[in-house]
Amino acid sequence: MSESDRQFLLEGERAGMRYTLTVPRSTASATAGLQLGRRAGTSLEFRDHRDYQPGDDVRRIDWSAFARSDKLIVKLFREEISPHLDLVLDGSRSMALGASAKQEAVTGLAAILAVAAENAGYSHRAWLARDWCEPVANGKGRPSTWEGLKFDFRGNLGESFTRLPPKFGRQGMRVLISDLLWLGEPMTILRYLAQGASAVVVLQLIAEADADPPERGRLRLVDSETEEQREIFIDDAAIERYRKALARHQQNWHRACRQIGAVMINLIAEQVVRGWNLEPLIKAEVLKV
Amino acid sequence: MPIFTLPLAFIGLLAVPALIAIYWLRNRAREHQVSSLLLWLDERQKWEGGQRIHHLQTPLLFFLELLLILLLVMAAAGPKLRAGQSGSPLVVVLDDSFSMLAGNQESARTRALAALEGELRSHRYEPLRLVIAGETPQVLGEASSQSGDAVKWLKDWKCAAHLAKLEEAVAFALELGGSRARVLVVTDHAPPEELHDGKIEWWAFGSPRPNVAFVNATRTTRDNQERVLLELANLSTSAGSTTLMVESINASDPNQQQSVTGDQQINSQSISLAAGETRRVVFTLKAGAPPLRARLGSDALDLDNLVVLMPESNRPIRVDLRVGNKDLRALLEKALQSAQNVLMTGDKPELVIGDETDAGGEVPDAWTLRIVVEKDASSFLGPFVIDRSHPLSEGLSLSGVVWGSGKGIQFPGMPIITAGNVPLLTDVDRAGKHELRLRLRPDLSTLQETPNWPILIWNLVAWRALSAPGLRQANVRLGSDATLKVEPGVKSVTVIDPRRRTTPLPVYDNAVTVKAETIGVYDLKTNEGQYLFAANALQREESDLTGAASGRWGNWASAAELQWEYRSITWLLLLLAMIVLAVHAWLVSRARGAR
Repeated sequence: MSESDRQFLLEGERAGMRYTLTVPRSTASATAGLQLGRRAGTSLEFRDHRDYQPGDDVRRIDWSAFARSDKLIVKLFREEISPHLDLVLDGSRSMALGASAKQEAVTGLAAILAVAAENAGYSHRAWLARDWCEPVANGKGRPSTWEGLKFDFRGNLGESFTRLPPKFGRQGMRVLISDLLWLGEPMTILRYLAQGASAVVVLQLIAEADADPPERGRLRLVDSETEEQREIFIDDAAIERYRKALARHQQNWHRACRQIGAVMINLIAEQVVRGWNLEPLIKAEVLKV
Repeated sequence: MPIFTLPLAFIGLLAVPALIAIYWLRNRAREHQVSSLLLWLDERQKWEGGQRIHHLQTPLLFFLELLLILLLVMAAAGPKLRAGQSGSPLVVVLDDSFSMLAGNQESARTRALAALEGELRSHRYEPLRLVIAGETPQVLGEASSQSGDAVKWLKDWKCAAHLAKLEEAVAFALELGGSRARVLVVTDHAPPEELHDGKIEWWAFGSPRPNVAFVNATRTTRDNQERVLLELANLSTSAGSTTLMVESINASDPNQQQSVTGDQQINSQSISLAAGETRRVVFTLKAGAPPLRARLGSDALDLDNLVVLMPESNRPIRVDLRVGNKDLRALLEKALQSAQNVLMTGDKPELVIGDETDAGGEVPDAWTLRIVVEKDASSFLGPFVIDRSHPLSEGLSLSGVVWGSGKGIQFPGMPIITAGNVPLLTDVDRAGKHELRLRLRPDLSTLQETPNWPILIWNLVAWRALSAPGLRQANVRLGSDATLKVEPGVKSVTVIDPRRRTTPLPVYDNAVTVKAETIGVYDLKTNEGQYLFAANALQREESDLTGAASGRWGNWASAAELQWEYRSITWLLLLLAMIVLAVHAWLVSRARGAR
């Protein structure tokens, strides 16, 4: 891991001290620790009764109710789960796009979320999606102690999840930080993220150059991941077509996120690192000051 | 291959690398890294779909612009192309002087004809013009592209002129042929100066040859006998000899060059001459002798070996002296006697001299001199104002002369001599008939005691004689004019030249002038008589063949030839450039419309 990445983590760590992680209301709420799980569980808080069904723990049979009604009734308690945050960082090369603040932003943002999670009493774990999804060394600790952050994967995130998905914490909150710029079905990885999650947040972090290509004229565009090259003449019309394509792509992801109850937030890396402005996350109730 | 008159314009080709640089910089793709080509995929597909158009259009525009630059640069360089299959204009200046005939069968003219025929048959000239260079340049035949026509017209090149003004002829030829024309000068001597301009070629076919020629011949009548002067010159660098034969010839056929029956030999001698020597032969004949023919032995140029001398007209002027003043009459008689060819008679006078005592009537066609002797007179010491353009004033010098006259009577006419504002001698011209008035008091004058008096009377008689019918000169040099005065009423004169060609000439101002362009005897006939005059080749410069030369000077193939043989195609290149520009504009507008 480079010294600059370490610096970004420290900056994020410092910036994240002001925030605490929250669960967006719009998501299927899942408590963890301070939060109550939706399912019946092993906590002491009574939730409901229901008829006994074969296989139920006989220790949960409400014998008093059986005495009164001669029916086997099982007491249901809220499930008690530990609040946990799984941070999945896109390790593809596009996240370290030259002449952009994407690498700085993704590193710092991850640190902020990790610190905010700590502030909220969450445990956390950072994952790096490269050839497969691998845990970041010291990813459970302070972000400044994280090791092995490398943004050099030439494939797409879907392939990483397919090869080896992360072992997410049960009923935890899952946050994916990626530019989402690959060709593939969003549900491929959203399905992994949503499975057993209390909340899913997808942060699309793109560079200003991704949102608004600044250059005009005859360009030889080089794909930062595949290094594939294409000579393109860029004029206002081409820019307009690009913007429409980006909007369609983002709408596609938003639609997929809504399907699984996830929150998707679009971020511009340069705007994020400019004073670590996290207003979009606060608005979306992912962070709280 | 085109040639370029302004090759400096090729500096404009520097625009080509500039254009290439512009296209290279414009079309050079800058490398730009993007997160993913995903979102450019549609654009890329469009690009690839339209790539053919762009890749086709851009080089096409480039090549059009390149072509445009080349066309403009070439146009600026002043390109000229050969004028295709059409021949170039040629004007041939032919030396028409008689020296071209020197050498007889091997004359410069003969050799020039052969060379010209070869040149005209081997090259195509269009148009071809022939200019004869004599005293004045003359066009021979018409402009033609057929060498046969020119060869035919060359037969009329006789080389009979007494001189050839080649410079004037060349200038005329250049003007006649236009800016593209070549000029070929055909002569027998080298050009006077080196030819530099490339427009003129100078072909000479002469050869230096020794030649003995007549350079002067006169026949004058004086004191009832005729004096004949012949001048012979040995125009060579070595001594030579020749024979001189003088014979009287039959006046009925004076153009006969050889002796015939009836001809009478007058003089025959063998003459030896040193190199460059001129010898005079003088002899006298009785008045009224027939025409003479003088011949020299045959040499390089025969034309100048023959001289025909016709007898000069010696008709006297008939003067009627009607002066009553004895002193004045004596002065006039004395002066008239000193003048030539004066016949004092009252019968059909041509000149009447009278004073106030003259009671005679007016004589038709006679000139009059009226001498006015006024009683009230004074002596004028001068200064005298003399009209020097008048025939009567020739040779007069009145300095120191005392002229006594009155001034009471007004004289009409143009003053010839005046003393202050007093006209002393006046002239009134009445349609060729002159009325002269002289104001003179001999007793108060010294005029009659000076040479001015006989000079004045001489001038009067000579002037009158000039206006009398008849030839002024019976023997002229080749190229000179012979003037015949005729009686009033004669409208035309028939001229028969030595080649027996008859030409009627109209009469103007009672005179006909005939230019002697051929050696021999001219016959002028009017209703009232026949007049003969001879034209002889008496030009030392033309007879002198020592300066003749052969060779060719000048070169049409020099740089100036290009201006003559090539035609500018600048207009064509500019037209092509405009077409290319239009196509370029159309392609650009179409490409914009496609976007």
